[in-house]
Amino acid sequence: MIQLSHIYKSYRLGKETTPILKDLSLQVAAGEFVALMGKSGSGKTTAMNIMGLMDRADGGHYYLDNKEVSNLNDDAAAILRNQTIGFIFQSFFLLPRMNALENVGLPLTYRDVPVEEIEKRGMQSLEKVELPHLFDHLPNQMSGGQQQRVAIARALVTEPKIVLADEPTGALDPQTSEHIMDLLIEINREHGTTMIIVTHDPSVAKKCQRILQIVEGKVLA
Amino acid sequence: MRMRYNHHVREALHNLYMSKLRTGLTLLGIMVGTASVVALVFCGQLATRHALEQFSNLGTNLFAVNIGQADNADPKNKQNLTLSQVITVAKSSPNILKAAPYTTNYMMLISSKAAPISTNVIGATDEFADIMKIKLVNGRFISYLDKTQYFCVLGYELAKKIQGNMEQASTLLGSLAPLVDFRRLIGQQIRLENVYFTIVGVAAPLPENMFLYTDINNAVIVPLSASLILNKNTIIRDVLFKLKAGSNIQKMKQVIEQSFSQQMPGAKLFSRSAKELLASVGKQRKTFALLLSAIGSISLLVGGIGVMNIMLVVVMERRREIGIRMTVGAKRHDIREMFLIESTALSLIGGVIGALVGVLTAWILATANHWGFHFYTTPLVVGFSASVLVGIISGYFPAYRASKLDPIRVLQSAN
Repeated sequence: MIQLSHIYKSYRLGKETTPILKDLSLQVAAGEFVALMGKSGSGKTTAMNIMGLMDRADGGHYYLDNKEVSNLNDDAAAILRNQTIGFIFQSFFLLPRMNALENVGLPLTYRDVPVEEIEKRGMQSLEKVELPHLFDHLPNQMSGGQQQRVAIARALVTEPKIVLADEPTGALDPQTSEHIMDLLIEINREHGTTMIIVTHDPSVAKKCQRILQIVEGKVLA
Repeated sequence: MRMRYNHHVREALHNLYMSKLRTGLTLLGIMVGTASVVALVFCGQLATRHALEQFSNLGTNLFAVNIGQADNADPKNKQNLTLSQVITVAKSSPNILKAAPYTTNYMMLISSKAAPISTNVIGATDEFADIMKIKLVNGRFISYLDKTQYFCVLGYELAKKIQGNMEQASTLLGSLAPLVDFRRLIGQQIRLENVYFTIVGVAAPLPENMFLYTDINNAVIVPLSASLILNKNTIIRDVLFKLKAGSNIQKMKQVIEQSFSQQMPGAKLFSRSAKELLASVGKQRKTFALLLSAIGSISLLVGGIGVMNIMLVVVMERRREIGIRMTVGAKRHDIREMFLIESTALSLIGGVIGALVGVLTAWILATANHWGFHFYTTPLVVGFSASVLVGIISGYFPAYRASKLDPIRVLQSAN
């Protein structure tokens, strides 16, 4: 499903260039549930941004679904992202002025989907995370766990092949954290969605099928 | 496409509604700009219309000649234009329908009711009333049958002064009041210098006009022959012509001037035609309109700067939202459209309100200046489209900046 081979990426800050990824290669098969672990600064978030088509590698190749996507332009990346990838973030990133249902439907507004269809699919998605009753709540009227569920519903509304989660439990208490992980595992089992989770929490990583350790911009064999 | 626009428009209106004070102040800027463009262009049109109306009464086939003395004229032997010479000129072309020679002279007018008034005394013939379309409130106009008799017709304003305070009440409402009845003035006498004249008529108020340099409303009109006798120095220096509709003004000017030169060799002629005056009014009008629109555009520009300013702030405040939208699949142009729609909505609302306020302002100004109000769509269209254009132009840069944001960096800084 995802294949990164010999990826290089560095960031320029003023005159200094800081290499982040050095010859990183990894493969994730369809339907896999993978944890990406590493210390902060190891490059796991950068690797995730490249996998999520949010960023472009300086060198190397990225194959998504056996298609080379290393050099897509911004709009092509946005379309592919909208069609194949769902995102979950540590701080949820819901739009504060929109209610739960509108937040969940947001990715569909960038496709030509009629409003009624958006609402229908949004509700279905909210049912998957067991929050249909909170559809008209604003984010600040919900708990952290509920907000993250809404964010998960938003990631699932497009029925993506891949879900990328960046520290999805980082802002939650241990109990809620476990519920969220269980939900992600359930989605992975039921829909065969490929899950890649960036975390530095061993208890989260333990629940994943496979753990990829990233150290200094490389995947530890 | 349609779905996304619906979404964007709803979003934009919602956002504007959420920050009411800011939206209100930005709207005010656009509104004032639009209102001033609309009001100024509107007033320009109304003022022009007012000027042109004078000609719609008189017609444009008027021609006037003023005769000056020749440079080498012998002062002892002044060349005076005589009535028979005017008739000769009038017969020089079949295109001349009427000719009205007249004299003008300032004299003291003494009447029983009012203090002495320095008055313009016009010596005229029947044709003068014909050409200038002078109507009478009471009595009759001067006739060729009057010959040299001391009869006179009073201008409307002058008649009011002579009638005195008795009828003041009915004139309080100004032009809206019905015409004052001067029946009692007919047959009374006034004195011009040392000669008594009998009032035979009072002229109806004549709209202001640029063609005749004399204000008839404040003048006394006497028979042409009488005016020549009244003062030895009075000579015929002006002739009005009414030409056949559609006659070539340039050609007629040549014919008439040539004919005059034959009658009075060496005389200096100054001629003017209503058509030429009309053309120069048109030219002035264009300059006027241009100037007014320029003034209005400056205020609209200031409003546009306000929109740009506020949109830059809005983009900064909503960086995180932009990042989230890009993450879930918004393309660069989606983000650009989102902010463009917001700034356009802002100027659209400001434009509508401003256009209405502008029309209202124009109406107030027109009423205050007695121009008479007439509805024009051009100023509305100009003002409104200018404000929308300003909204799109000043919203473009902030929207472009928003669309070029890097979602990773934006979301990192928001984390």
